[in-house]
Amino acid sequence: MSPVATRALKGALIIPLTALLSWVLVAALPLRTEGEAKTETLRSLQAQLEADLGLGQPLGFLRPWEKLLAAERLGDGGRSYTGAELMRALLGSLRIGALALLLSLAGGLLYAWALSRTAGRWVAVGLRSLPPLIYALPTFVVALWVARSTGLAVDDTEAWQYEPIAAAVLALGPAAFVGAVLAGALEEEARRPYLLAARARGLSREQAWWRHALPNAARAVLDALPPLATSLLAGSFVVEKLFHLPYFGYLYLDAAQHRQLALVVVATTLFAALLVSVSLGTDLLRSWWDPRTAAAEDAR
Amino acid sequence: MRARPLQVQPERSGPEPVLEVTGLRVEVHAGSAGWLPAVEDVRLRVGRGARVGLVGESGSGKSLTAQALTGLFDGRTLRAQGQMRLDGRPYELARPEAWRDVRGQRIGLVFQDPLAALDPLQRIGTQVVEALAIRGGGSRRALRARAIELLRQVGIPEPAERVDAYPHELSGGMRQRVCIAAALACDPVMLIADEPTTALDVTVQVQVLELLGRLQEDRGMGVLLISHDLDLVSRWCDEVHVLYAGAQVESGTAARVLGQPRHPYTAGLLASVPAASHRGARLPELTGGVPEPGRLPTGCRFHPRCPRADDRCRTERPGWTRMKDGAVRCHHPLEVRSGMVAGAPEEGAPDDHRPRAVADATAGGSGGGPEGAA
Amino acid sequence: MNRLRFWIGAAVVGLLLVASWLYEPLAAWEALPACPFGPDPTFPATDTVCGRTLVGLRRSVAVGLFAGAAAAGLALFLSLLGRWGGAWIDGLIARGADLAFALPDVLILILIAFVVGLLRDAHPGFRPDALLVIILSLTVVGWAAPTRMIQRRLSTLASQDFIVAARALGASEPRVLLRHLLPFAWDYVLAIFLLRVPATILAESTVSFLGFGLPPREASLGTYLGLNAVSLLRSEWAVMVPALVLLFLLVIAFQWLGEGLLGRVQERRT
Repeated sequence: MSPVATRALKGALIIPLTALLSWVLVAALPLRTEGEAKTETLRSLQAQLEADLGLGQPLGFLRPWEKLLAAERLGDGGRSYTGAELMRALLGSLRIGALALLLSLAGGLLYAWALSRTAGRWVAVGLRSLPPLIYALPTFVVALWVARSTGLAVDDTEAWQYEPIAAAVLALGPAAFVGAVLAGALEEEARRPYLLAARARGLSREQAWWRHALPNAARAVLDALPPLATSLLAGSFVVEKLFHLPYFGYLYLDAAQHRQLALVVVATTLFAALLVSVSLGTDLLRSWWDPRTAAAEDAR
Repeated sequence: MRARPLQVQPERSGPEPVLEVTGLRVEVHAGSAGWLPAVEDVRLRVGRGARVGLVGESGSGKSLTAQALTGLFDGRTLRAQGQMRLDGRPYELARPEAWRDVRGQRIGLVFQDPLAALDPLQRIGTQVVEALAIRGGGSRRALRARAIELLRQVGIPEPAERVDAYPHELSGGMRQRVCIAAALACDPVMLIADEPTTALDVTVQVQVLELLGRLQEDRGMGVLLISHDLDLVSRWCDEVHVLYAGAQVESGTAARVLGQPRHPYTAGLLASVPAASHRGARLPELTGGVPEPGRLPTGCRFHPRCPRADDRCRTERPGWTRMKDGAVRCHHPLEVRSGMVAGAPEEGAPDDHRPRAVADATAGGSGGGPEGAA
Repeated sequence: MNRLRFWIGAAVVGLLLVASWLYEPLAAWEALPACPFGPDPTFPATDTVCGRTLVGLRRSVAVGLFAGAAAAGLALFLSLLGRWGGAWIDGLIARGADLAFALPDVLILILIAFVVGLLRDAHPGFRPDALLVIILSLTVVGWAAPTRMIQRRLSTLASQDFIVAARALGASEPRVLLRHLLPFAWDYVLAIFLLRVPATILAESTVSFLGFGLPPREASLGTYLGLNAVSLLRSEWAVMVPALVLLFLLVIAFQWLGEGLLGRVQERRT
């Protein structure tokens, strides 16, 4: 089997494993008391354990998934969701995440390009000190500052208007990261003979940069995609909560706050699936981008 | 008196040389020390169909010379001065942006490490015709056909299939052929090869040199071969210039330089090469290293390593001493005594390994030696 | 340059901490002017914005230092364990760290808070200290990156001649580790610890902002900002400013502190 396929299989295994593990974690918690003092919360918890998580039943860990597929509501109180609603929320988050990814790649490219073009020493020093400063700013600080002028979504219907802003805020830290990675990789590539050879054929500096240096340096960015996705995921919680966007991150926070066991289990599994897909996608992308990795893997 | 470039074999060079370089000076920027000269006052002439060699250890400035002649410097860490006449047209070396069209089109450059000189992410066909592509060389089909043709000319088997290969799929010798093909894409009049065989196996070296020779004859190009290997250069080139610490110290026909070196450094280079069978030489092996640009000795640059150095060498820079077939820059050039080098062992001069007949060194006139002292 | 950053960072951290310790007693003695930002929105009767912010600063620093130290300590322990146990254990630890590193830290922190919350709801007697919980969670999340770095460092150190010589002389492995390797690794570990602090403070403040970190009664800077985020809508922006500024200064100062030390350590090695 091709190495990509084996990795895909290993990744695919992680997803049901996460589902099982998170279910076991919740189920194993000592949440059942046989005392008289049963608060409302406790009653709700136990009801959930039985209804949503199928505790005490064989193959109970499949219960939440069954319910979702059957278009039943998962969760209790005012915080229950059907599978369709979960999907809509997930898609919304993915939209913002994808836009933020594009923006961070563009921003990083802009940064690296600006750095390569500056002749002045102080401008370069200033640019180089920018990413550490941006890392020191938590996403919520930037979001707060931006939200001050743009406002927040008042209700669900106008949430979509704030998606671009939210994506831009989300993309700031990752853009600095991409920029720093790309700039570092470009510095390394700048010393390579093939750039000199390209210029010896008549290419200008700019041409050599775009046609040869950048594609080679981009490999480092590809390697950085999984941590990038991770930080986008973490940031999405903040951004959705702050701008009142009712998507998956917001849903997760809400569920965790209100002790929605099954939702947390399901959502955690979906996150794991997302990260695994990104990791796999990066592998595929890497093989396609750099013909040498494909060759090295075939040789193994 | 206008300094004229060193011309060793006038009848070989034809009516007008392809490349004439005068007053070449390259400086490197060394931080707080400012601009330091790395190459000084180099003069070269390469005729049509001529093979000129530039020899020196690492640090002698030979690669910088190649970079200067192709304008591959950025003015921030490296800068150059001097005049160059390429195919009759004059160029100011200090301003490479003015003659960017020369690079890759009229002068081709071949590098030392063919794997590093090729972009690993692009197919070799694309890279071979890149010099044409950026100048609007035609449709994709036309470019591809040209790439295949070039690959065939450099001896790559099955070029129509190999044109889509990636650099890592080829062997070292093949890759160097690809680099040569890329340098020839626009039919340049001049080729500069910077250590083209150093990174290759010995058997492949011979093949690549033969290829270069054949291509040169077919196209009537001038070739400047740069190497640290005096033996190799002397066997392949007609004319040899020896570079030490950024200055030319000896020039001449290859036969003469190899057989009767006049400069102690040249002799030392030969003595340290196993192929040149100098056994039990009274000339010691070369010790020490080439001085860095900022730490050049006073007077003759070679005097700290020269067994023949005296006070004059330590204070006064030597000028050119012209000879029948070349010139040397030394206060006390080694003497020639009936075909043997003074101070050399009693054995005769090493065998002439070159496959081509050597033009009679004495037939050349005395014209062309650089006037005046440096 | 590195020394400059180190001392600037140390100076800023020192200043902030001194200010935070001095504020309460001075305010009690009425030696200071009234806080220009007014009373605290959540506890208007007892606290001012300045007071809450400065106390929150202390908590953020405390969490950062303790959790950072715990993470660095755990990383050192695991790295030494790997060295002692041989290539297989070392590789296992490395792979585990890489895996843990790939997980989003905010997510794990929320999960831990979730589980702790569940247990608290189920068993009213179970009242763990919020500070302790957050420090432990941050340690769980923060051990992976330092472990890899320290592992690599020990590896480079171990290949140096004096270590090889000690082994050749027949010293046992734990002895070699403790007496020969460790003394040379301390400065690096210290730098790693100091570099963990800003990352930990950032993670804690994000998680507290979202409501899953320190509770309002024991607010850190992050909690404070989270509680008052709603004031944006009412345009009472000013109450957030000191906390925002202090948080940023704190993170930068610790970053410079750590980077300065790391730079010096690396300079001395070469």
